[in-house]
Amino acid sequence: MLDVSRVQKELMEVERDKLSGVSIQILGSSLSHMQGTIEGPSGTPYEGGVFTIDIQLPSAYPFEPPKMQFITRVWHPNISSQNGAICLDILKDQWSPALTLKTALLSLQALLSTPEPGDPQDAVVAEQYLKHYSTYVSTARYWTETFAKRSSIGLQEKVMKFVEMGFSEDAALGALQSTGGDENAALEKLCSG
Amino acid sequence: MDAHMDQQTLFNPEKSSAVGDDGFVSCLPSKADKSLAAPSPNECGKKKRVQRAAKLKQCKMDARREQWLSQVSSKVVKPDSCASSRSSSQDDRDEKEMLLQTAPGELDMGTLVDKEGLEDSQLKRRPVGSTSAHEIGHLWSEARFCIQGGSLLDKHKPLTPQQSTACSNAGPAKPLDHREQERKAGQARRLDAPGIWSTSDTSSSQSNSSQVSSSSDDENDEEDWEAVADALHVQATVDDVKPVKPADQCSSLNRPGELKSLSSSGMDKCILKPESKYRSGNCGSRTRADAGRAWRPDDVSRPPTLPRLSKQHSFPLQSGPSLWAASHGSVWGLPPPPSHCPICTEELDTTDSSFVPCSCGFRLCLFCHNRILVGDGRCPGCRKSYNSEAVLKLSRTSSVRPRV
Repeated sequence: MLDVSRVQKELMEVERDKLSGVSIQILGSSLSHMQGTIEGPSGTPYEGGVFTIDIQLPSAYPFEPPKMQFITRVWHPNISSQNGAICLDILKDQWSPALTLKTALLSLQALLSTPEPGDPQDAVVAEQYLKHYSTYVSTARYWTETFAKRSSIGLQEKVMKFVEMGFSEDAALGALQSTGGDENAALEKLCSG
Repeated sequence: MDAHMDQQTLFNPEKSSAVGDDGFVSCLPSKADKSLAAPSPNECGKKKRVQRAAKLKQCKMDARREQWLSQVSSKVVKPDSCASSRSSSQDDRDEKEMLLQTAPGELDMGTLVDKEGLEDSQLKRRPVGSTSAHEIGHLWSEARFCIQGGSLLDKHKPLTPQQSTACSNAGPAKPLDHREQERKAGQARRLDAPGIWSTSDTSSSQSNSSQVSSSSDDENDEEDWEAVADALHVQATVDDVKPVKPADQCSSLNRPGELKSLSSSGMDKCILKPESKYRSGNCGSRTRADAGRAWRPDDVSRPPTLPRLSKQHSFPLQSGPSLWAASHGSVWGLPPPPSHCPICTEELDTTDSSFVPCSCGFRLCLFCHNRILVGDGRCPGCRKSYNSEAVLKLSRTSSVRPRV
């Protein structure tokens, strides 16, 4: 049985603190599913980005950790570039009932600024981080610019739409970027290309 | 301020009596019972004041006890109720002594009293002497004379014949050895006035003076005097000093006539404090047997209006569960308990607040703790297993029990 009163107080607390760069929106009528957003920490390749995280609260919350997953695509050693799965101990075995959704989201923010390639979620990114750090930085910044900018919100949906139409993801993304996000122009370019 | 002190001395039998236990027996006349055959209230007031001074000196004889007193006083927290006595410092004490000395018939004029003190003393005497306007005027003038003359003429001059006469009116002469003892007490400045001491008043003055000294020494508040007095009583017993006959003090303290006069003689005009009022009202109800010591919390004859606080409240470290918890927490290096459970956000009751299941000091309600034990059993605060803390938890719980 989900502790509704605690979750509500947590949400109120998040709502009260506007300076933390963390926000949570409730999805649907149930408190068990919500969406959190964090700002990319400054001084990192993720600066300027806004990352959306899907939050699922198990019924045993807060005695069990919330299930969190990046919706926004992130290039990070501890975050799957494919599905946004997060490798963070406090979301697994090191969870404590004393932690909250806010502190968990802040921990994700901290994770963005301090990757742990030794315990990777995405092996490719971790390897790049260890061997070609500059490449990792540029790639992560590119992904941030591409997927995490407020202006680029919705870009992924457009890309997916083109992918469903049969175009490759890279081509669709390139076309959309070259046309400034204009769907029709991008489609035209893709068709002509 | 002085007025307050004086009244306090007059109406605070418990304290004085407790102090009086301490080895003043030798000074006490055996005829103390005479005081029961109370002279006129006016006379009583005189004698009391006179002998208060003497007793005050005696009090100081016991350096050890005084030292103990001062220690207690430093620890004692001052409540609002006894501003006058609390504010009293060493200077204040001197003033009080002077007030006592200024009583008619009192020869001790060594200490100086400022005009303010004089005014206060006058105020104080008003109620006492209300029965006789003439007496009052006489007393006041006499007191004033004593004070001023004492301050000017000072130290070793005997009283004028008038004063001595007034003193002699107060009662039978007091033995000189009493004076000698007082001198030994280190009050060299004071002069002895033979023949002014009445046996019946001696007890009262002693108790009063001792009370004054105790109150002035420890600067404590009204709520602390009980504990101090009891402690003094214990100390006196330890010192193996022959205790004062309860009857002696009681007789002087519980004179109905005096009380009546005090309470009925426009005390409101004076700067009488509430404590003094209820004390004066309750003095009479006190039994002789109890006179030698302060009211005990379990004292049957203890007036219901007297104790506002239990003895436990007298000392800083014992001020109720919350404070105890705070101090307990500090002892263990733990912060005070939160008002709500950090896990379920429900309010912590007293049991939860005293529940510290982990050495890290993380507190939570019993429900959440139990829920965690069902699961991984690790402390939310430090992630250590609760099992390793089982022994500590048990000991803490048991130690906490008496508090509730």
